Amino acid sequence: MNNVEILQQQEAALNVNTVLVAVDLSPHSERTVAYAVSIARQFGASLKVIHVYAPPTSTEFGAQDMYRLLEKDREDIERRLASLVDRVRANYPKCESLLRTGDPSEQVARAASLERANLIVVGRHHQTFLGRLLNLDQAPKIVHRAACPVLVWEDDDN
Amino acid sequence: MNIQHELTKQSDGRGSRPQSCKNILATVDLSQDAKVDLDTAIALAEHYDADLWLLGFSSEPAVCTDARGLCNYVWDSWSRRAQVRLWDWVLQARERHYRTFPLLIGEHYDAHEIIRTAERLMADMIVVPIEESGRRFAAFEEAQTDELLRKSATPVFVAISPRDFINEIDKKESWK
Repeated sequence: MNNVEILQQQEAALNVNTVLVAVDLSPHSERTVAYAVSIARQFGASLKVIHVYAPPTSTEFGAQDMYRLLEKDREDIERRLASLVDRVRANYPKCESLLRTGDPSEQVARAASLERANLIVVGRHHQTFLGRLLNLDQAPKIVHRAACPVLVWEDDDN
Repeated sequence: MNIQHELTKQSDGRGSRPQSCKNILATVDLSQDAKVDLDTAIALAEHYDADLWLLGFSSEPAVCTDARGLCNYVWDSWSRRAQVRLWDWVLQARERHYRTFPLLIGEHYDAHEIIRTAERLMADMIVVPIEESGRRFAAFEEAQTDELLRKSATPVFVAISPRDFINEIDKKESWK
């Protein structure tokens, strides 16, 4: 293998133009986004912050009130996501938000493909025993579905 | 946490962890038919100008790890073969990134061993390569990767070779 081929291979292996960072809008999300910004900055990539809204399952009883509540809930989430992205844009302008509805891991993987993301960044914080038992951790699920490299990082202070 | 403060520190070049990535730990399967994709790990090590440590595992049959009596010579030859394979990968990687070093674990792929090694090395990132064909990897390895993702305090970079997710979903939906 000559030097040119080696360099071409390396460039192909690590071509990061778009970074997709998945957040749950918990207090940990800011740390995850800050970490993703530092990576995007390193590669000169654009950053897309995605949150997937998973509406709770409901019966048909009281459907009208329920829909109103869900709509309000979604608007609130949209506002919080926009506020987070605005704060990031002040320092890193190549940043935009994406809000999806549905299963978080599937929607993140789908958005990564649609947006042609080269890297997905997922934050992970300590889970309760019950959370582990019920398999609520999204990071492994995203890894199994994603079409591009995934960077999972522990976003706890300790 | 104040994100503005953190981002200002980053733009000054003072903040955040990925900018100071000095040690990268990458796992390598040393079993006979394993196809190892180290491109991403090498490219990351080059990008961050970091040391790259290749941690070799072997998924040979468990009988070979029995070191009693007559099995001693099997153990020795298996261990030597694993070391030769690992060095082979290290030398290949060194053609592209000179600061590549070997670490051999004479066991099956084990999340806790990877986490312990990463802590001992003070690694800044663990790179776990998963290939297209490797997506159908054994349930044991899959469980270990999940365990690694859940428990590692070090960031884990899962190097997945790009594929067309949307086409796959469309194909699945067309079967319904």
